[in-house]
Amino acid sequence: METTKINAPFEVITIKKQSQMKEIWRRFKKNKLAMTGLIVLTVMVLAAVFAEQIGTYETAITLNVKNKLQNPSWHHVFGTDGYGRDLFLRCVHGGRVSLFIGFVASIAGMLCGGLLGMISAYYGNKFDNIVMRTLDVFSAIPTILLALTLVAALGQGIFNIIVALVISRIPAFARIVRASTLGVVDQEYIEAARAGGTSDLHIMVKHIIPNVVSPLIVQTTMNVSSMILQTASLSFLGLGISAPRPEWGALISEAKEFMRIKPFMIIFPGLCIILASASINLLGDGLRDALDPRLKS
Amino acid sequence: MKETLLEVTDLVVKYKTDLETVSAVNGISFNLNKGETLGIVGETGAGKTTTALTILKLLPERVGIIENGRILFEGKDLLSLSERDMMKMRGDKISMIFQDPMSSLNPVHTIGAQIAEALKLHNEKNRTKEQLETRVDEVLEMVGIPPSRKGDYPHQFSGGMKQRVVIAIALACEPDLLIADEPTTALDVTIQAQVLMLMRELRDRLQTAMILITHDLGVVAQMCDRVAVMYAGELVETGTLKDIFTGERHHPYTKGLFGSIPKLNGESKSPLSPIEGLMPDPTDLPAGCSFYPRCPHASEQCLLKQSDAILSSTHTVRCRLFGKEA
Repeated sequence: METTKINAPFEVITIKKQSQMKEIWRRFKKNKLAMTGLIVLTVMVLAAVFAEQIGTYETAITLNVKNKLQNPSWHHVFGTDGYGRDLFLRCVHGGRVSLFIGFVASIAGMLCGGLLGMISAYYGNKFDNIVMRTLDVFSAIPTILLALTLVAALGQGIFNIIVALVISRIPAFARIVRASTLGVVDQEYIEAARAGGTSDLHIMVKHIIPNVVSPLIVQTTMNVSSMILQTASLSFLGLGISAPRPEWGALISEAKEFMRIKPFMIIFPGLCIILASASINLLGDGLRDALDPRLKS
Repeated sequence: MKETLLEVTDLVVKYKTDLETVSAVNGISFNLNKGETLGIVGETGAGKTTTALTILKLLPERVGIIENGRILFEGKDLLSLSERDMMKMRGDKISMIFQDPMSSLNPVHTIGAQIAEALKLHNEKNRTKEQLETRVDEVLEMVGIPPSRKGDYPHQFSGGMKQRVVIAIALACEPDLLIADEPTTALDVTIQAQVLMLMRELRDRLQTAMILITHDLGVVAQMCDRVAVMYAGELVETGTLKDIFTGERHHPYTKGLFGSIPKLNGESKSPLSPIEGLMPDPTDLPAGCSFYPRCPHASEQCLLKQSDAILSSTHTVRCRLFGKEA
């Protein structure tokens, strides 16, 4: 008797939590474009994860000059580049780097910028002023210029590129989270929580974060595509990933000398970038609609 | 004589900004015994909520400044407690119900989780997870919500139900003092009655002392043992419920308040007699009695500082009209 009384409501809670996720998923599924984005992105991510199984990294970077500049065929789906390397394989391995940098830099930027924005909105006043004005200085510099300078100073390499991209993204994230936090800290439930003896840290973790998380998820997703584009731009400018490691931007950069005779060399990696960023943007749009409870339908 | 729970003496609170200084509370003193209910009535902006926030030390940082006074709670001076110790008091010993139940619950957590959180924060009895859940069920049942609904989110409840949840959270730790800041203002009249009845019943059962802040004299009549009338940051009249409602002699402001209530019996044809004018600007309070610009009995003597006139052991009025009897 006693146990059933305790257990029954527990089940209620778990069912409710599941149905929340289900509800979001149901709304997301209805959006055909977003689903397409999700599927395309999943395929690309899977290809990147299982790149070794599709063709080893060794074959993607080994020179094979007698095969150079071949047109697309069944043997080489995307053709070969100026050194006779299979372009499809290079795109797959390049995607590994591009997507990795895109996701990691976005998430790291969200964590750093988001935390900074939330704390500065929560404490307000002087601290807020110092943080936001410093970030204003950063955002006055064009992102790509800032990233370029940082990579030039720190040196090339995946880690340094990520650091540079994260730093250039912090102001944007901080501002978004700060704006949503400002809307939440004035709510009476924050005051009520304080009146109940809740500490600042606890209020931020339990009451503010859940309320600002949905715009943040959307922003982070959308950011992945711009991160990919920026990595590509950095590589194109020769400050990104160093040869022989393939990367989408670097592939385009390598292909530019053959652009007139073999345009496919530039088209395929370009298509990869377009597909990836378009599908991520569609996914982000779909997520925004699905997470917004006001659009419940 | 009952034990004193809360003793506030000469409390002065100001809000200081770069542009102006607002004198929100100007030297109020009152005390509250265990299990007793004190009603604080007054117009909007009289400093009622500021008084409540001061007791919990939740005034806006840097802006709200306690200039003078002492707040003794169970003999401990709250104003000298560290923030950490104060945090332990809030919710456990003193808790507060806010005006608007619509916005005092976090929309992203289930109500069960929010009640459990209050319990977890002050978990001196080291309850296990299961015990906490049973306690959540108990508390919900206490305020008349079926425990099966604890997995629901605030938007799935009506206003009255939400206020019940807020009461449940406030009473979950069985505080000694409950501060209710206009708990029924945001509710419609039928729900008001239900919520008030619930609060009265729980107060009697749990022996909680209560400070009820309201501008509704009807609510005061139903709920309180003693009443304090607040005007421009001062207590112009304090007394037992009987002193205020049936007594003969009152502060002109209290008379004005009662004159502003529509009467259902007797001289029903007589129009309402509202108090002329507005509250004085709290950034620039008049010298002497703060009510004299609106007072029908005002004279030059009112420009001098007023002191309390004691009408009986329970009834005090701050007005020169009663000075002779003091």
